[in-house]
Amino acid sequence: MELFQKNHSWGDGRLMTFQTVYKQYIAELSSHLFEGQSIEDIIKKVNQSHRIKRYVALYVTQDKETFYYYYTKRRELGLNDVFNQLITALLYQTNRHSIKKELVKELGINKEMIEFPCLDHEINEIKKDLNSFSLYYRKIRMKQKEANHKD
Amino acid sequence: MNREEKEMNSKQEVMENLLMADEYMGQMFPHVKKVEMILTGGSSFLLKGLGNKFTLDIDTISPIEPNVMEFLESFAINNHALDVTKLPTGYEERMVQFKSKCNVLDLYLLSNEDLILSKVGRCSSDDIGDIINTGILDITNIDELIELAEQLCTEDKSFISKWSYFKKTILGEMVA
Repeated sequence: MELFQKNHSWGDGRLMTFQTVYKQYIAELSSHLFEGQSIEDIIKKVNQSHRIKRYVALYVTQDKETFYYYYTKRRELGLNDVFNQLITALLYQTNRHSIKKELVKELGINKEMIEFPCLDHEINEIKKDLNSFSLYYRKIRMKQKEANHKD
Repeated sequence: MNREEKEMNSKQEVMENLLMADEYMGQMFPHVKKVEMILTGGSSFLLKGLGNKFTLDIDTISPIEPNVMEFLESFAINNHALDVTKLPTGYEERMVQFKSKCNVLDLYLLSNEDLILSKVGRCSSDDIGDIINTGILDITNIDELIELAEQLCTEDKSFISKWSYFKKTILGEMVA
């Protein structure tokens, strides 16, 4: 996993990986959007709001263990649509998007996992969220580089 | 995690992202002198100073050259809403320029009335929640909102039921 496991310095001696930053981003999202609610409570409301759906889609991609934990329980938790949208979007033009590429590899996603077609805007929603994370990641790295430079 | 490591989009973050995109725009597309960008969605609420709600991305409804748009997408800017956002004719005359330090990006915000109508047109619980929770209704000319909504109903039949629902359930006493 090139991107996921690549280490970057925080500038204070700690090392961060892409995955660490991804998890940090998801945690920040959660505190902004849901103020301390558990993921189980958030999932219960998944069909009430597209914002919740988008958050859950990001949440389950944070690592392979989390992904398959919820993927195997997707029917009982009402996450079928979320997984179908997510998997379809990640497999759409994967090679043109570095984060999609990493997630597909990291999570071991394949076309057989797509259960039904999804709409263009649903594919775009996932891409938008990954682009937002990508910018967040770049900004953190830029600020770290600046800080390291000053040191 | 300290404050500097937090990068979530507040008004300041949205502006920072736009300025960064603007800076690189000049380097990547030196022949492009100006890109008009009409902002909508959560980021435009933030730039209007309405709330401090987190938003994932910056939505524009401006048609932008595909290669420029692809580049802007890497700054979380997208125009996916362009084809689905229905606004009453004349919205360009009502929008206001958002003054910024951008050199290439020419930023505009929809009027409060048009921004509300763009949300009503989507009519999801999140969109209606944005109208209620940001307090935008308090600084909106309700008579003008109704007039523009009625105009939009004649221009886009699919808006009729959405407006009727919004007027009845949300505007309620304000229009009684």
